[in-house]
Amino acid sequence: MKEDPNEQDFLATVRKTLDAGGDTLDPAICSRLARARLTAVEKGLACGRRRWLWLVAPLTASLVVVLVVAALFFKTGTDLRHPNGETVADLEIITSTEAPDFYADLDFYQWLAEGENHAG
Amino acid sequence: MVDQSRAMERFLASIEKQAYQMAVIAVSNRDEALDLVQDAMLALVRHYSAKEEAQWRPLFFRILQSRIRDWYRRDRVRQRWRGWLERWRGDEEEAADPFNKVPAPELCNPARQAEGGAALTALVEALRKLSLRQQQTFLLRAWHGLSVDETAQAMQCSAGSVKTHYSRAVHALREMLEDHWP
Repeated sequence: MKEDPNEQDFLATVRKTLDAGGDTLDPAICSRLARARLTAVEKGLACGRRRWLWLVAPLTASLVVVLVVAALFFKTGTDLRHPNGETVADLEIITSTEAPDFYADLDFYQWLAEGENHAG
Repeated sequence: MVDQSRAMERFLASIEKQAYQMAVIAVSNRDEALDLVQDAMLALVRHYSAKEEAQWRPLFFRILQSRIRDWYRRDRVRQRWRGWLERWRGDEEEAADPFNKVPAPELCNPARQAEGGAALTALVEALRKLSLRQQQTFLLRAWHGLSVDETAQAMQCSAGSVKTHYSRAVHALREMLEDHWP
């Protein structure tokens, strides 16, 4: 589309007039604008830094919680495996093919065997 | 970080007067216009300072447009309430209200405006007669030099709408200002 040369002149005049308006702004307004700019830069960048903290802090906290839970789990796990060998014995009972009654009467068989030894 | 802060400050200094003029043309109130510009500056620094410097300009005007639209929405609600209250209180009190006699704020320093500001006053008056969309599209395209796509992004509308608003704004302004700028 061909541009109207009169329109280009008109737009150039508009730009010039508005730019001149900017140059003749009230000094009080200019000073308030400068203050607003400095506040925006200071507050905005500080807020940006705090936002990083908000992102990093929960991640760090989660990591610490995971590490603590893992440490507690492994520590307790070690105790479970070797509490005077009782847990190992329980596991043998559970996994064996003998009838549970056999283990219930185990003390009786032991007493009987000891009696036979003394008698023999 | 220091470089980024300086670059941002330089950028804001380069657009602050234009942004203020644009806001004051839209809302006709100095303090409100200053608040809108400061809000837009703060939002740009807070959310987009990590973006490339070339993107700051369209982003800033997009934020400013959004703030101006929000202001208009709030103003509409305020006006509805005011109208309702005025009807309730009666027309006599409205006529007696001294604020109704306060003239609209001037865009620039009155002393310096007298030197050669007749054209500016006429232009601002003509711009205020346009619809907000036409007015802001015209200023973004003709004064701030944003492309059609950048203007569409800032105004949150289609490129086609930008072209329509711009063309109607130019036509209307030329008609209104033909006595000043033949």
